[in-house]
Amino acid sequence: MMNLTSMLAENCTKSAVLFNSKKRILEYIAELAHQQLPEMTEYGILEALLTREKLGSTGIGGGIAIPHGKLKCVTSPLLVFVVSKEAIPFDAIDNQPVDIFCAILIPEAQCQAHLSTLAGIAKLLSQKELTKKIRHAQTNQELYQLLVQYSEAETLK
Amino acid sequence: MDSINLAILVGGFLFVISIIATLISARLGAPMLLVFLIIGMLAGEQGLVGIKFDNPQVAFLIGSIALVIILFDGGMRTHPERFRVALAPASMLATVGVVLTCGIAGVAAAYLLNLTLLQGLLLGAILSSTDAAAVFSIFQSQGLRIKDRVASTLEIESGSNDPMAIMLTLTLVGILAQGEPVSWSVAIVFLQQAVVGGLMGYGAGRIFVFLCRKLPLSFAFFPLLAVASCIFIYAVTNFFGGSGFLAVYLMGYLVGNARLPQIIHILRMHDGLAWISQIGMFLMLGLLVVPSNLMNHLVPALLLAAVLIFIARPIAVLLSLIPFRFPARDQLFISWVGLRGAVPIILALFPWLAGMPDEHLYFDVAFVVVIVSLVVQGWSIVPIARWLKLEVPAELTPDQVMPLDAVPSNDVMEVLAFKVTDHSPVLSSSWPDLQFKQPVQFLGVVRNGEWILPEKKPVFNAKDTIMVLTKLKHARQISETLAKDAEKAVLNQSSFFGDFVLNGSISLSDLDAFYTINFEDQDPQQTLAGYITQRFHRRVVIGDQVQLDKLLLTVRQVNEAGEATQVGIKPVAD
Repeated sequence: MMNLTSMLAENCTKSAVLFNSKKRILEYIAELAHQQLPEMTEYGILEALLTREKLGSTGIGGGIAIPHGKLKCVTSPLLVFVVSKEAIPFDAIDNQPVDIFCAILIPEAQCQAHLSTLAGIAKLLSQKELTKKIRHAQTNQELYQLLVQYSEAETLK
Repeated sequence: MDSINLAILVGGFLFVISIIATLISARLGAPMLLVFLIIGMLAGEQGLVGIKFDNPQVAFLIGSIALVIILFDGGMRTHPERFRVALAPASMLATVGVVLTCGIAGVAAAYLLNLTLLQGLLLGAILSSTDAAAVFSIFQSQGLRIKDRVASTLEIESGSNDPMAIMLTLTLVGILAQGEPVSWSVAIVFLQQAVVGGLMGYGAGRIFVFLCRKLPLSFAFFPLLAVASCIFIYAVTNFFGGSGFLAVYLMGYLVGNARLPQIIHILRMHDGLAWISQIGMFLMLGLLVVPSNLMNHLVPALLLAAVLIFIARPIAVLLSLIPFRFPARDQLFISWVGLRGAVPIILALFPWLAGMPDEHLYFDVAFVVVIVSLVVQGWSIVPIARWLKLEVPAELTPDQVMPLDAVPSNDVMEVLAFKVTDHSPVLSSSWPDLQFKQPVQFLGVVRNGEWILPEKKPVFNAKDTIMVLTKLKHARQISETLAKDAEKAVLNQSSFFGDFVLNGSISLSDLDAFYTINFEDQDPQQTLAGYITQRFHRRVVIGDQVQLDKLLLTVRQVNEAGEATQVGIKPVAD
């Protein structure tokens, strides 16, 4: 159904980062995305993510958030996967702080269509075994391999 | 002496069998009430045991007391949000709806059974009320949580339409038995029943709550006081020409929602009592009927049941609910859950008690109709609710609740206990990892029977029991984090509501800016909550859905004013 690998670059996968607020972690995500999309400013990307957060928190519970925003200049969805060392308050549905952030930047015209992509990510991250491993990943590379492995297993199903 | 002992023996045996039989009914999904009725019939004069019981007075006495207890219990479990959502529509159903059902079923009965119109109407009146016991027990026993608008309407309707049916029946029995003329005084008497019943119920509820706060009784006595008071109020209200059933239901509602520290004890005992009443009443009615007599009018009775289920009830619901503009699915379900239970059978005793001709006809026909209703409607409620998509994810609850009732406090305080399993979301976290918006105090965990204090910061393992202290009103939110099946519930919720939420306070233009939805002539400054309220014309309930373009918005949380505060968003299923 969904090929995470094609949307995720290894240098957009960061484990064990250390931030303490919702705004700071989103800024960091914007910074990482900016490296992939030099034509967009960091601020523009942050704006896109914050616009969606204003509608309602993207924290889906279980310490997981899927921040997303729409951008003019992307042609296919771009993922940024960040795991925080400590959980950050994020107004999530279950009121619990969030430590796994799977941000996704979506081409502007496809917001409705990509709801199912988001649902796919949510489903992938609903596997307890995976989130446990994600939280224990020591290096960026380990985290990246883990995500590739699980999303391929999901695609094969 | 021996005969008395024999009676006790048989009674005890029947109860034991009935209670064990609930297991069978849970497995088959069969309505429990039907099982009790059948056990009663098997024990009866043409069954296996051959007990002869044909005393309508005794049956009426037991039936009335059982109904009082069941209605009181139902009232206590009716939450105020339910009243806010459903009082008006339920009242319409309980008054206009009952008259319409009575009229349509009455005409059909007169035609099918070759009765006079008045006799037909009497049968219609007997059959016109939906049964609180049957409706409550199915909702509770099947663990079914359906949309509030529908559940509340049905519950309040079934709790409050018995007085109307009783009134109609008594009036028609009076006319038929004594030849009283039909006149407008009937309407006045009805009004008196409702007003006196309402006032007595309200007053009694208030006094009872006051007494609970002031009387230094032992805690064991409060549940007994509740039982004694509700039976007493029933009789007093009847004595003053009011509707005793209405009074008891209202009193139960006030007592149940006063946040009394004793309430948990009262509820616990009444839960048991309500079951005993159900079992006792249906066993007794099963004993009372002579099965072979049911054959006398079997075909017309079956046809009458069909008319009631497929014509009378739907028309009555449709017409009564016109002012409220309920969604079509909701109306369809309310029509289907016109469950008949013990009340019609008990009402069918009235003509028998009044010594009218054909007294057995009413009883036998009512009996057949009730059985058909229990089998056809009772059995199919759960699948139909799912089919109509009216089921909403169930609320999470603690494994144990222990009220701190001995210490008086402004809010009721409770110790909640949550078992930890391999699937608990809190497994292998410790208390400081969790965050709560509501005030809550961690009391440690019990592991292998030993209490581990909070200072030790225990990591939650499977088979631990987490104990917290919180206010009763926050128990639900706390459970959402700690309950062992929270994980599964989150999955159910995300498939029902969607993974993401929108705040109700955002404007349509915000929504449009992100999802590009064409709202046509809607005011872009209108809030999402306002828009949903407008789409539903009335109070919004959890589970209400609005489709916008390719998005399906589902109301996930509602505030006290009945506005949506959280709305789930998901793609429309292909």
